[in-house]
Amino acid sequence: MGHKQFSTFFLNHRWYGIDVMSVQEITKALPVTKVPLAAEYIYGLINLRGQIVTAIGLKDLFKMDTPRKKDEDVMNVVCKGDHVLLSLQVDQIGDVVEIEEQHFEATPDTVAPEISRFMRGVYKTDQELLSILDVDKIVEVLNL
Amino acid sequence: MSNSNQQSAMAEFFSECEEILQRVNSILTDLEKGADVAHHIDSLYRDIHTLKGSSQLFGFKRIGLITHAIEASLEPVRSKKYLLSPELIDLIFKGLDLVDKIVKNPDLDLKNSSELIEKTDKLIPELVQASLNSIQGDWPLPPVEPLMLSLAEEDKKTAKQKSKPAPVAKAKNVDLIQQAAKLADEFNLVKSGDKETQSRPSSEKVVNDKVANNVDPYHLTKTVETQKENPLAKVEDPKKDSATKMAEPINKSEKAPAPQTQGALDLSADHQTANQHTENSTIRVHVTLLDKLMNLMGEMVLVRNQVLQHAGRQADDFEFQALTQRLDLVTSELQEDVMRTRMQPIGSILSKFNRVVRDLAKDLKKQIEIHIEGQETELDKSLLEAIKDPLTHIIRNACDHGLETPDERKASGKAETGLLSISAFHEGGQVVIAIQDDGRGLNLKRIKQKAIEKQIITPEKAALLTDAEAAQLIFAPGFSTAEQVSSVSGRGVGMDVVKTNIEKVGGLVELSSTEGRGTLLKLRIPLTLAIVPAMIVRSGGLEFAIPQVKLRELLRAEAGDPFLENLQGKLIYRLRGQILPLLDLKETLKLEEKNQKQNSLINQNIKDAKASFDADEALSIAVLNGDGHTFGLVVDEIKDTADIVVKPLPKFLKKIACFSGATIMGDGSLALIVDVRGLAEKGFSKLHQSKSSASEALMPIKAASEKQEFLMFTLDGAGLFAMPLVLVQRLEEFTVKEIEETGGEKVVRYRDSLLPLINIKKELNLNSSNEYESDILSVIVVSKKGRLFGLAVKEILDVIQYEGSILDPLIPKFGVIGNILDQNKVATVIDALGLIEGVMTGHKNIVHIKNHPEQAGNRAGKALRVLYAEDTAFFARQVKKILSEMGAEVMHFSDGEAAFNKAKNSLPVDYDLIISDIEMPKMNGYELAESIRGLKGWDKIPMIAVTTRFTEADIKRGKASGFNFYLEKLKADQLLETIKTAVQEVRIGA
Repeated sequence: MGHKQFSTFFLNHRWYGIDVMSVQEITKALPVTKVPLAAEYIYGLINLRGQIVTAIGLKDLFKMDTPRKKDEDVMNVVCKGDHVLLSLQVDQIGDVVEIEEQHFEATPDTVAPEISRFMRGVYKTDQELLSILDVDKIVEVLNL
Repeated sequence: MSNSNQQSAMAEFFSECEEILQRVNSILTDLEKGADVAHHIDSLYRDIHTLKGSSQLFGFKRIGLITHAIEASLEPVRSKKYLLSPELIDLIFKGLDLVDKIVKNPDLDLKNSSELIEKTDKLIPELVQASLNSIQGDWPLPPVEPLMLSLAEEDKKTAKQKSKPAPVAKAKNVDLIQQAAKLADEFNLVKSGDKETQSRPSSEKVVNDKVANNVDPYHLTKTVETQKENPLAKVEDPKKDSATKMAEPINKSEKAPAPQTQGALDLSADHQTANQHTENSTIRVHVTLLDKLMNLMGEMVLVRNQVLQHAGRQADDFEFQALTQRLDLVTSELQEDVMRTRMQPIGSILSKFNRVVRDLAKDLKKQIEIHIEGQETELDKSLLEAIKDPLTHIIRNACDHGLETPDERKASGKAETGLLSISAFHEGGQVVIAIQDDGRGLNLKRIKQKAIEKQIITPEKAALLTDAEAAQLIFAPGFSTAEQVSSVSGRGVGMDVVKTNIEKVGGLVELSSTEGRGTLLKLRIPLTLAIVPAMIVRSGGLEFAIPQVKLRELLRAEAGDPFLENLQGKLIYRLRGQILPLLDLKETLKLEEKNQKQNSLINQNIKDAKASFDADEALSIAVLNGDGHTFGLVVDEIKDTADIVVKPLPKFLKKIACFSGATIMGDGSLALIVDVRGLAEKGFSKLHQSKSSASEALMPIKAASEKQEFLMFTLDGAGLFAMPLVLVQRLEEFTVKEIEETGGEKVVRYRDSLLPLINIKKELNLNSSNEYESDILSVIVVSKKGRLFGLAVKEILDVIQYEGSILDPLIPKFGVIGNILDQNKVATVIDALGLIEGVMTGHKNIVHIKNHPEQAGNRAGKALRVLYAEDTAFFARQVKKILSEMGAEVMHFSDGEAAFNKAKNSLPVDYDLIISDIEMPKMNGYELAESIRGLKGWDKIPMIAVTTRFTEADIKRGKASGFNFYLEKLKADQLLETIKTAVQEVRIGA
């Protein structure tokens, strides 16, 4: 059984992970240029060393009902999607964890569809359950 | 040599061919116009020679034959004994056309197209004859000596040989190897150090005295002789498939330098006397590399700017200051040069039109003189490509429709020869290409009449058009006034394509015409695609860039400006007597609540409004031209012009339709680039529908790519529903009285049969009342397994075009596939086939299954590779979704033939499974299955048919043609099961 590495972060103290292979980098807050008429979870565009990255408010996308953080407090998880760079705006960055594949399980049906449609599954770790997000699914939903 | 090397070598060969063809064509055109033969013939000869050599190297025998014949026929001319006859020029042109055809479609040659063979076989003797004629003196010049006769004999011999391809090809191979060495040398393939070693047999030795006295165009005979002596000749087996062998000669020539002979000196001498047509020292670089350089350059400029800013704060560090200044200078220079790497002179395209016009004039029996100016004007390579076709179209149009026949011209008092001039020049940061003819001009009356006939415009609207607007009608899709469809133009596709293509690259088409005097078309093209001059404006705290091409002028409306008026509650500006509708950027983009200034204007009457303007208040208006209609965009502040680098937006942001991209400003901040047309559509959406000018008809039809059609309907207050249109057979209406009951089933008589009725509302458990409420019943007729079923709905609304995929339902439910979003309304997509199945079998627990990825993904260990043929976009999408959810890789083709070609060019181990529809264009499922089974090694691969053709006979035929399984369309669970069984069976079996 192989190991997989996940870059992890927190949203409302819940633990999420993304395959390290789809994460380009993690940065502190960067200036965001608003895009008029865009959906509310699209915070705007970021200039990341000449590349244009779309900032996605992950909590808004997941319909989490919490007040939006001040812009300078968020962290950016910059992910590579299909022909697009996304910066997921998250509360706090966690460690990169390495997990055995045998601990993988499908997303339980009880997870709210607002979130489960972005999830690939769940990993059981010693401390906690890690929800694995799928960047392609996020892009897919954004493109709808 | 690896496959990719082979491919890139091939690609290089083709671009080389195109370059040569272009050059040769232009030389020939010059010659035809009376240019000095002596001056051009050497480079012409050399080009043909190179073409011959390289084409044979790559296995294009026919190009080899043709070019060889041309070369031979040019030999007497080259020896400066005879002139180039028009007949010969004509034939050479023909030959070049054939070569061009092959270059564009290499299969013709590699696969020995019979048409091609026929044409070459006809052409070659003609060429020889023409060459002979010119020698014989049909064409005046030097004394022809007694050798004429023997020459003629020699000629016949050669012609005879040429008509028998095999020996010639063989003979050519000697040549070929030698050419290969030469070619390779020219492209630095041969290690330097080897001297240029080339022999042209003609100059190598002389066999026939009489011929030698003249020159020796027919060195074929000798090449055959030399073949024996030349060890290299053996390496090439002409019978082998030349395509697969094409790489070999290069290797060979690398290792073994061809014998050096006197001929080499001749050739290098040719090089020295070369005229302007020869290439400079150049190197081929891939365009993507240049693009990357451009991007990096952009980033570097930004860093430079930041360093400069930083230096500004370190005023006391002089050394740092000096360094940054140097960095600044070097960067600017570098930026300029990097931009220039992508530039090419427009002449490379324009010079082609010499030839085009010449041929057209001949075809149309017109006399046309063409003038080309400004060939040196440079343009980005990708733009050059983009304008090539539109330009060709315009020029063809000018020749065909614009210019008159000599008789007509004479009658109207013009010179018999029509004049067509093309000029390219820089103007205001753009390249302008003006195409002017002195022909008959546009006949506006006829244009209007034609537009009415073609239902592009109504007679009432046509009557209201101004001349300029009427002229614009020629840009309408489907417009063509040519009385008869000629081979030249008039097929109804035309100026609209020109316009859309030019606008696609950010350019503009301007048209002006005087009846009887001629037409002038101006294409305004930006210098490069990547860099666009733009006006930067500010609104609601954000910066926006407006492309300069869309900008007409800037206005400032001070308080009390008498031209600023209120019309039906909308602010307008009277600009030189024309009404200019105004659009507030902030408001259109919902950046803040309605502009205060405007509010006050709209709410009061005109006089008050004017008075209510504060003295210091003023509106900044950018007058924009978006696709035919002009409007004023009100912004907070007009800042400055800037050259911006366009960065694309992700798909989900493009949907907003108001922005065409984003750009990074000098200080590192971002600005959105305004899509003027999209903005106008958004701002004037209501205005647009009632607009009565021609521009409405001129709106280009959006490409219907990737769109699915859905039939929308309602079911009594339960929201909006949809069904893929492909499933719908017919729409019918029945009265409730027509419903009969048989065996507990509700049916109506329909087409001599009974149509079972299914009440969708009831089956979906949406409403307890199961009776039909109105007297008239709307029924969607759907076919399943060859039987018709009627789905009763409340009201059938419309067919919509839907882009994007179907969203999974939140809770899987019987009879429901998912949801689609239509203009912010959600519609539930009905699983019609599943619903019928459920009702007929009583198994209503069938749910459109969504599979969890781990089921197949983990089990198989390796992704399942599926070759999938299906022509209906809807089913393809669904099946692909099912397959990708189980972790399979899908290669999808929309017809059987394409799928078969893929299979043919792959190995059986490349795929685990083939899934195919039955009814498809080009090659149906049965044929596909038979063909695939006929391929070697493909007999074991599992094949599944997924189709709506589901009668016993169909199934039998399907199995007979090689399908292992035959499934009904769109039963996800069944498909999944079958795939698993199929793959397992094969794996176990193997």
